Amino acid sequence: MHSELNAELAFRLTGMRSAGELEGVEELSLRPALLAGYRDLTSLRYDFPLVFTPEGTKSLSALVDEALAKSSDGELRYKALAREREIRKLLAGGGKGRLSELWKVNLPLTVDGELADCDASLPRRFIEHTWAGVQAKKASRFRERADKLALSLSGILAADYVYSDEGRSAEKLASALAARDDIDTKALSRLLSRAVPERRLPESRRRRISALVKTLREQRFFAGAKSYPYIFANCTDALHALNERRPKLIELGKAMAAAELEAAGDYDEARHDPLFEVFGEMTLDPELCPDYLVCLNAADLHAKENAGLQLLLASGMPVKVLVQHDDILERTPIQGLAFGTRARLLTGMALGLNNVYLVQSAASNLYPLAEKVLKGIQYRGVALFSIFSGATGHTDGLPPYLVAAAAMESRAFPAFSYDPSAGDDYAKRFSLDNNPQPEADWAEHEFSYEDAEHQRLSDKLKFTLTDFAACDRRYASFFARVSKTNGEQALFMVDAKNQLQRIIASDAVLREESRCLENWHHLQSLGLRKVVVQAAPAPAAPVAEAAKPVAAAPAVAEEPKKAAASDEPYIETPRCTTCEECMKINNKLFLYDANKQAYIADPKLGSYKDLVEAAESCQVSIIHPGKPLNPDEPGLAELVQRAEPFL
Amino acid sequence: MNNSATECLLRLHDERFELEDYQSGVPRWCSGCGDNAILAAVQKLCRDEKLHPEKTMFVSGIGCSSRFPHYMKTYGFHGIHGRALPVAEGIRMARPDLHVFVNTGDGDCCSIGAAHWIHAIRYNMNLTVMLHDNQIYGLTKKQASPTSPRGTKSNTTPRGSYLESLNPLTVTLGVQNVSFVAQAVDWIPEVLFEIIKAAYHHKGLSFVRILQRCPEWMPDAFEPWIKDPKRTQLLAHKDGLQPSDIIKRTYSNILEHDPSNIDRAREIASAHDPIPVGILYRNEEVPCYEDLRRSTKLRTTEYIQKGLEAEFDKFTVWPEAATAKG
Repeated sequence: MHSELNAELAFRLTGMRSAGELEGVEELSLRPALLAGYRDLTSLRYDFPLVFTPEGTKSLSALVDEALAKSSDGELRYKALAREREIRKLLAGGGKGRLSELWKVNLPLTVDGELADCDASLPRRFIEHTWAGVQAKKASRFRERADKLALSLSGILAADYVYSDEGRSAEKLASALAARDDIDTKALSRLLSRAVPERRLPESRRRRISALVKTLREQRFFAGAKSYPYIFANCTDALHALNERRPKLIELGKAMAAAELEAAGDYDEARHDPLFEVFGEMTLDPELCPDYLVCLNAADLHAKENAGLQLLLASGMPVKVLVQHDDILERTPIQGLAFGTRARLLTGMALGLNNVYLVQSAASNLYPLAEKVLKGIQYRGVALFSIFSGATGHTDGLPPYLVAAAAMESRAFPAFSYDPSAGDDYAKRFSLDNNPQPEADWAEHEFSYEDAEHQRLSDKLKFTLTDFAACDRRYASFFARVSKTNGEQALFMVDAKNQLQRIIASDAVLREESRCLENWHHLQSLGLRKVVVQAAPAPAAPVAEAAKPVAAAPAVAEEPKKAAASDEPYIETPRCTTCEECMKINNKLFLYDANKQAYIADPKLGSYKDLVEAAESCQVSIIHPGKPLNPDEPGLAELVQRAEPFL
Repeated sequence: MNNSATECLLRLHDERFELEDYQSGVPRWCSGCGDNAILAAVQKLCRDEKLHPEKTMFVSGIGCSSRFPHYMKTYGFHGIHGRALPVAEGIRMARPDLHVFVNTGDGDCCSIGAAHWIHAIRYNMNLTVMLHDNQIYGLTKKQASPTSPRGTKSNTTPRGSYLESLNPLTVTLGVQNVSFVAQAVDWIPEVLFEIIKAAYHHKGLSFVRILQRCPEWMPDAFEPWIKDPKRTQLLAHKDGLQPSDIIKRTYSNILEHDPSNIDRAREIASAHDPIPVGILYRNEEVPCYEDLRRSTKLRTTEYIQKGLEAEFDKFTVWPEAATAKG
């Protein structure tokens, strides 16, 4: 007993297995016990294969379910599900194809597209498909706008030409009236020239419009097959293209803005020429900037590319970067263990920039994250997608889907996103959605098994980084099988025959496990962080009021206080219906304010009689004549009596 | 942030308008006519919303109210009797960049133009429709209109009209695709303005019935309601009309009404005493016909020519073909 414990201790500390005491795991084809049920993924229904449809990425299972919901035919249901399984199997074996070619069941599916399984090519295909959809819509919006503008500007030039002497020449008229030989085009030309003098656009405007039409028609940013390429496999080329095309892009932005002004007839040279001279990147309409897509593999990010990536991330341009990780358990250049460091460095850099849209996820989780990916592609600045494919090539019998899912489950490659447009504080921008049990340290699952006496036992198992590392055959030497264990740190793993094995890991791996947990805690704290926004100081109202310019034009007349109304005549101006009655009685005494509602300009400009008559004729009874100013006005006694109801 | 560079450039030179910038000529309406109040409210809207006169269009049919476009210094179309709506729909289809308003009267809309009215509601094109309802044909000097109250003595009904008046609100609320219905009265200008403003901001056909005084031919029609503010019921809601404190002081009969509730809206619309004033119904989800039928095809000369040729070909007699057949 003691010797076994000593051997375990020695192994944990040194990684050396003492012969006879601890067994190696190299030949056992082990996998974590929690993955025992997933030997044959093709017999299970899950998100994959995916279908890249024109409307976005869909899951085959979801499409089949959708189609089956409309049918009650039991046999058809059986056939459809069997075909779905066959397609899954075909794809898992490396097959390819479009859904319509492979489906072959008399159950119509609403959409079609290329099928994709979770493999090394998935991250790129997924991101590229989403990007292409967004880009196509952007291009079509642009072309619709640009074509309309070009057409309307050409119309201005055509109308100008018609009024020119050349446009009205006999030859031109003859060619326009080709089918008519009964019209004397020379006489018509003379008549037109005499009747309407030549009226041309100013030369500067004609030149400007021609140049705008040329720019809009010859642009290469959204020109279908003639467009610039926007997908790059390295940062250097992408940066070069961005720089090289920048002046052309600014020119296009300028042309669109000027064309809109010209088409609306609002272009004013004195006003707009100086503005367009300083028109630069800052004024560019983001809708005009095509999105660049840079697809990188983390393994190729050497010094120069790394520097290029930094520049791209900091550029603020609409650049979408995919960094695909195939191996997150690689050793450091100095042969130490530092699992997942490369991804952490990369996402740390992006988070530090604060304006980069970031999505990190395992490929297995891309489908549930489709909305976030789409939002990232549509984001107006830089977006970074850090995706673990699961295709490490170092796991025995585990398909990439399981490896990717295990990486997320074990926090080795947690999923998170950062959306700078989602709000002001970190809590709104940062999300840990989709991670299993995000509040816990490790994801925990119920596990049932049978012991040597054929009794059913169950346990709660945590799935940690160590479980994930144990799947990788490169690290087999860091693990050892123990027959019994006195500690809780032994892992439950199963061999090829699904027999339970207890495995211990050496300290080197356990150190990585705690480092991984620390990183996870850091992410958890980011997700919960709230920025305390300080209340803005109250505006200095009196100063602002005082600074207001006094309106020179007639201001909106204020409703006088009723208390002061008994002697002074007044109108309840906001209730005035602009009916003109009072104005007809005296248009000096009664005036309209800026809202075309009546007020009394000066009681001295009219008689008491005017006021009383106006009060009587006002249909909404808002004129109050007050007391007479002039005691000598004739007929005052009667007027005062008539005014009584309106005081 | 979402504004295009052009908008930014234009905003650098903010334009200001005054009411006078929208005034054209001197209205020939009688003094005391409610049309003046509607004109003032609409001009105020144009000024506050900074509508460019050259991008704004008023369409009308025939009647006193239909003289409206003459008094707006914008584009206008004084159409034929009952046809304001089809003309406005055509403009909307061809020029989606314009703000299109329709001014129609109770005779123009509810009598000769009734068919167009019903279908315009169903088409739900983005128009602001103002029904100037003075309950009488005024321009032709007093004939009963469909909205004249029963018993109205006029040149065509000297012994008083025999039929119950038509209620434009309940009719409109009964048509499919109705998306905005409101009622205003010309004698509460602040509320009239607020309702027209809400109608202008609604995307779809906004139908505003404005009860309007005709001092010449129906001088007493609304007298009891004008004199007693309690007989005006303001419909208030956070998503509808929010009357100011001053208004609430005078018009204290206030009913809380959610404009998304069409059943309740129909109930309220049926009442005529007190007169309900406010937004009865609003639904932003109803699609606009011009959006459903919007073509992305560019109307180039060649495209138009091809379309015209195809139309002409339908009526062309080909002599060779006729000979061959014969």
